[in-house]
Amino acid sequence: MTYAYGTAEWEKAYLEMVEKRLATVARPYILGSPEWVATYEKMIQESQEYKEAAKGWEGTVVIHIMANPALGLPEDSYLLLDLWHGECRSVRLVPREVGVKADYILSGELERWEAVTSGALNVTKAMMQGKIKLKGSLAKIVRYVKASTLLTEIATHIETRHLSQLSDEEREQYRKELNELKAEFGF
Amino acid sequence: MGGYCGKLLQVDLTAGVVENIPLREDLVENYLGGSGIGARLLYELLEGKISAMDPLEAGNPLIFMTGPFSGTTLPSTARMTVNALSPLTGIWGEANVGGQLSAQLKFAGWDGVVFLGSSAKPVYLHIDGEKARLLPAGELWGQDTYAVTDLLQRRHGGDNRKPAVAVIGPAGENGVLYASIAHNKGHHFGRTGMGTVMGSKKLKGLVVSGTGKVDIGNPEGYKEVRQRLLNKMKESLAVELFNLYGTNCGIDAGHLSGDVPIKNWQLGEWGEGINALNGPAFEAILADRATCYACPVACKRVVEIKEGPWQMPAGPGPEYETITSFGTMCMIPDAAAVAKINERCNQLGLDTISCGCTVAFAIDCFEKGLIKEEQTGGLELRWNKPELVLKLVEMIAAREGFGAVLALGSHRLAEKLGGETKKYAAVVKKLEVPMHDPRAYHGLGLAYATSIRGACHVSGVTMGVEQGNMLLEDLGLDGCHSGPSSTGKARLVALTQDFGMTFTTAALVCLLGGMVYNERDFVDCLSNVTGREWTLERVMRCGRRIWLLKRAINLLRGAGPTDDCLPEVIRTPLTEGGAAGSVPDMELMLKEFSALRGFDRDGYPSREEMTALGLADVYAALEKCRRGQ
Repeated sequence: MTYAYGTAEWEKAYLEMVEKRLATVARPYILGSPEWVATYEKMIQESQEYKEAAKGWEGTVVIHIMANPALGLPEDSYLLLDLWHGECRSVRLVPREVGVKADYILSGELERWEAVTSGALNVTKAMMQGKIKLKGSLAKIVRYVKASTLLTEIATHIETRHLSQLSDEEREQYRKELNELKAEFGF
Repeated sequence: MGGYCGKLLQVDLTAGVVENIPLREDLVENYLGGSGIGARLLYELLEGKISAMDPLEAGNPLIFMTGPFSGTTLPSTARMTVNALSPLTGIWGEANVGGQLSAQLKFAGWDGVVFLGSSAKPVYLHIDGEKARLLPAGELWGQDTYAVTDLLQRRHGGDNRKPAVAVIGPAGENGVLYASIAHNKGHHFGRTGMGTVMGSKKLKGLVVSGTGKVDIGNPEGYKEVRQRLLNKMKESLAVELFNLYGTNCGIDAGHLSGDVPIKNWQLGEWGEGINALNGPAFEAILADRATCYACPVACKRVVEIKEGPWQMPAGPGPEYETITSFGTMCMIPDAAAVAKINERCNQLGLDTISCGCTVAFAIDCFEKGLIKEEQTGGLELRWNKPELVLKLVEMIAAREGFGAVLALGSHRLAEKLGGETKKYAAVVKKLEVPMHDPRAYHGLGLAYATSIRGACHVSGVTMGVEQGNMLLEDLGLDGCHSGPSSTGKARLVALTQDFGMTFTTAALVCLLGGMVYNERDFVDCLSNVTGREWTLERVMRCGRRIWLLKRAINLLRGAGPTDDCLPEVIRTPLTEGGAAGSVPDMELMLKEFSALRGFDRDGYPSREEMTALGLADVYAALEKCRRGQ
């Protein structure tokens, strides 16, 4: 790994990588890609409704997308949302060892997250049905049900390409990119 | 006989005679248990007299039934049902309860108790295993349910056993049309005035103790399916939520989607009220959690209020339906006040849904200027007046002053008040609508409209499936349904009604823990407990048979397709909240539903289907009734 997570170098290099990709990768972005994650971060930060609903919230949230090599996701992905009193301080792709330590982890298969982000599956229903698992204090999540709902609702407003929609060639290319990112950033 | 004791108690209250009668094989085979068997028994007992029977006459039978799972340790199967013609609605009446009663009755060796006639003096039934006798209840008459429960448990309990008690309070004795039957204080057979029927028979209660066991048809298979269900429960977020905050756990999410009725169904959003009534709000007065027999969910709350105006000792806390009936419907943003109102309703023996909704309706009419103080006996009915609501609850139970009019329920209250008031009475077939808004879930609107006992959210599994909390994928119901849409909902409702009739009303599986069951789990439970062969097709046929039989009872009572409708107040769009602008397309859904059910132009089921389901005799009675004979 070129950069160690948590250092200023990692953060600087991550932001430069995202900026470069945002300038070069064509929209719509692939779910869970660095450019998709950056768009998601911006949209949460711009949501006044989220700021209002999440007043008082403390704790990191991870969206855990389980690996699906056949669809082009060779390893699990962890999207870390650093949330604090209504502010979204950052959303980053992070290494596994960081992701599993988050205060709240929402875990699901790639197809489930594709359904959630396309609006076909309501995340609350998905959790009740066991299609997405929650790790963390349920009592606290329940107190912020509107903020939690908004976090996933915002994701449905991102113009998204799903891995299941890619051609074999595109999937192979994306897989290669992910391998390079892992070598550099550890995720 | 796996899952059954094979016998019923028949109690002739007029003659004071208690008899043991066999549970007929055809009832078990065709109607399974619970209100399936209850409906068939009621139909046979009243054959030829159903149409003319006054529900408060001695001839109206009162039938308490268990199901095949009662007394087993399958999770979430502690429910019990009571059936009779309803004095509130005039049609099929049905209420159910959790707790310990169904298990104790099975342990005592009985599948159910059928009360006939009426006693000249107050009595109660004491069942101690095989022995059952009527005992005088003169000194209990007039006492509240908590006092009588304590007294009877002391009288008939021992050092190591506490009998299950089910009693009525003053409301049932005084003829309030929505009186409940209280079981061990906090569990209530709430809906359709079954406590009123009990009061009309001068029957104060039942006390039940048993030490037996329920036979299991296939013990190995039973063990496997039970463990499978327990494992699913451990993994279930819904179960965790119900344990955490009780049945009130979904009020925040419900408020967001527009599911929670507010201000007599006319406000779509009330954030500060919800924050004062949600799960965390009740934690301040939470003393303990409690559970029904063998249920790992433990959704029951014990609350205690030590300070302030609403002090109460530790006792049963309010359920979601009560919290909303009095809290959001009457605009009372105060968890402690609602808990106190709930305590008094429990003690007096009142259905909190009908009571809260009738009070909210009256307040709404007063606030709109549709009724005046001359009609309320000088009372100024206003939103957010918990002291007033508490006073009205006492007046209702005693049938004093304006309380005597409120004691008749919303439908009759609207008839008495006249004018525009009817527009604001939220009833289906004269039963107050429970606390889930069909504008957020259109299928639920059709389920309410076509429900047998009047608006009901528990007899089918429509709500759980439409909200995505229950998956019935073998029936093609995958949990991905859009709430505020009427498309495809007729099919969803017909399927969930048929499945639900077998699942929740005949087998008496609780809706909450029952969310983890799928079709295969249920079929496996039935086959292994009873030792009989069950398939999903048989489950659906059984449900359809029960649904049609109950529907036929309603038709014989004069309730037809024109009664399958939603009240105007719920067909009016809200201007704010999660369901803003949404109204169920009842015309579309009812048309599709009628076609799916094979109804004729008059809303009658077909001869072919009734005959195929073994209901030829019922069809003949319907035809006779149609001809006016």
